Amino acid sequence: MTDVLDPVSTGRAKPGNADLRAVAMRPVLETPGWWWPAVVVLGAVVVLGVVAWVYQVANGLGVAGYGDGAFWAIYEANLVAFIGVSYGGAVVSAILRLTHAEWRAPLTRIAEATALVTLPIGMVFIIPHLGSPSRVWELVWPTYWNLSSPILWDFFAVSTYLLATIVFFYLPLIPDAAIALERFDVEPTSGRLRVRQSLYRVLVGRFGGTPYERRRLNGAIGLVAIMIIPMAVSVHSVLSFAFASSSRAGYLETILPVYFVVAALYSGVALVVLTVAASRRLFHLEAFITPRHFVRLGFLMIAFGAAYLYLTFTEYLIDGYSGTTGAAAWVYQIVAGRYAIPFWLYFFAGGVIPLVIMAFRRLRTTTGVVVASTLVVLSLWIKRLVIVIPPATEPLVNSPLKSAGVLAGNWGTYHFTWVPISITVAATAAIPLLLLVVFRFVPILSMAEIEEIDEAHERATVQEVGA
Amino acid sequence: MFTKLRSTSVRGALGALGGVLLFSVAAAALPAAAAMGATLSLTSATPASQRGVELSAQVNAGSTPLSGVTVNFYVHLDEFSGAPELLIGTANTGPTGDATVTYQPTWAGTQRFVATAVDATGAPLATSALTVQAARTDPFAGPVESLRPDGLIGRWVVVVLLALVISVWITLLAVVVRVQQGPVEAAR
Repeated sequence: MTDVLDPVSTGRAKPGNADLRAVAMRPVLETPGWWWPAVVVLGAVVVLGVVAWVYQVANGLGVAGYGDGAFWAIYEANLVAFIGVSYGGAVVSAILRLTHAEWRAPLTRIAEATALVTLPIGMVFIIPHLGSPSRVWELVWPTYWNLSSPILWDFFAVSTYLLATIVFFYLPLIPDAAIALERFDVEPTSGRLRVRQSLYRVLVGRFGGTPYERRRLNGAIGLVAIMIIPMAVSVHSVLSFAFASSSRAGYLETILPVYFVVAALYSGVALVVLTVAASRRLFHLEAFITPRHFVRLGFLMIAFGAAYLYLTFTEYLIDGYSGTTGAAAWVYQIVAGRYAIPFWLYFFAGGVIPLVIMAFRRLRTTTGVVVASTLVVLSLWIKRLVIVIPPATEPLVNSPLKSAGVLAGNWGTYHFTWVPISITVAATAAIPLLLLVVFRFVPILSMAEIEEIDEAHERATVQEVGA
Repeated sequence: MFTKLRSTSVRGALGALGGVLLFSVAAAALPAAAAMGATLSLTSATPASQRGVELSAQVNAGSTPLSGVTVNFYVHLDEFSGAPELLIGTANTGPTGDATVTYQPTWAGTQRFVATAVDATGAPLATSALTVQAARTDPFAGPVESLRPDGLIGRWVVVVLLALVISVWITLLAVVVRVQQGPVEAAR
């Protein structure tokens, strides 16, 4: 097979099916020494975030730095950023499946798991955003629905996308669960593993692994892969409606839906690179995930990055060029005013430096791609703050209240406090925590997929030799 | 004669100056005196447009209406911590001592309004509060509303979108059920 197991770039012998299954099942069967300390530390950080949220519920959104001067800030940026990164995993996997890119096979499980854990974390940010948790009920219960609110359609879109992500994660897992069950049936299992055995039985259902069933499964995966791409596009564009359908300069932008989708893909692919790199190191997947995988993911990431830079340029050019009062003031504040430092930080760290890293062969190493991805994830989060905060702090220059002196040209200020910072750090810690838990229950590599691609190559080789 | 004339002129000028000074002091002291005893009563009514809440503040010094006094109107919020009063409008009292603003609430329910009369330096002279059971009104209603899509179109868009969401859910669940069916169809 081609790049799935690339002895040239790894310098290792091509592993067989037995090696593949052993490596893929190792996180399920064995507990590394670092696993529990990592889970405890990450869990403690998550608990700190929950404590901060409870404090906010008791004392109001003011303790999170919110007020009349800045009505939207970090929670909205987190909502966009965390839901955004989930698209990377799902869409990358879907695109590579549909284009039959065979090198995808060792990456798909990790990419889909990343999508699976980041999406609910992003959705959770709706709760601190709404202030009182009781409003979540008012958001979801039909008698309270406000069908003219973009937030309600966000809820429909994101929950539908969550279902699609779960199904997209589940379907390729079925044959792997069957393989794991075979192993458990042969070897006696302890009490701990019996839980997994029961889980796999539920996952497998009546799937028997016959050629007909395999074809049907692959057809189903293909269908969901086709569905999930437009769904991901629609979800993030609907998410932008909450901003774009307002009347504030900086939010009222027709480019915002496209802008959000591309940013989501850009940061999403970057997060996939980071989770793949961490999984490769922690679970010793070097024989399956090679430097070439990182370079290819890096190219994919940078294609989205270049598009995002262009869209940023387009947005500011048009608003600045038009010279309309609100838009021009907003562009000035971002490019040369009070938000210039975070904006230019994004521009260089999230736009230029990753491009430079991927442009030069000497920098285009596994480490280089990981560094570029880290910069992209961090700076795209900063960019979300630059999108959300300036319009929310912008004075309503044409407001009738101007004469009262309250909103006459005085920009509001958002002050970061320990509460939203704790919640944000907790959400970030929840990503590796949930991934560690997920990979305690499911094989980290898509065994059946890798074996299937391998078998197809062997058949093709035999046919060539025969011919 | 010249001396007498000069003496008369000086006396007259001094008298005039004294009069001006006295008038200035009296004029300056009058608002202060009025302010000392200023009272404000706040009432609400439904405006002729039937939209929103009309808030009227009557500012008096004793029984005399005070005109030209600035009155700030606030709505009390408990959404955020910090300053809970959000300014909703400012008006000056007329000859009858009345200042009026019309507020269009963006949510329905019991709302507390505060009116404060202030002097030229912004120092409060008198304040009063009022609780009103208000209905929600759309602040952008009117000319803007006519530009929005027709209600019928909006309803159909909603129906189509909801149908789309439901069909996606059904398709995804059907895919899972079909894959889980096992070798039943394979045997056919």
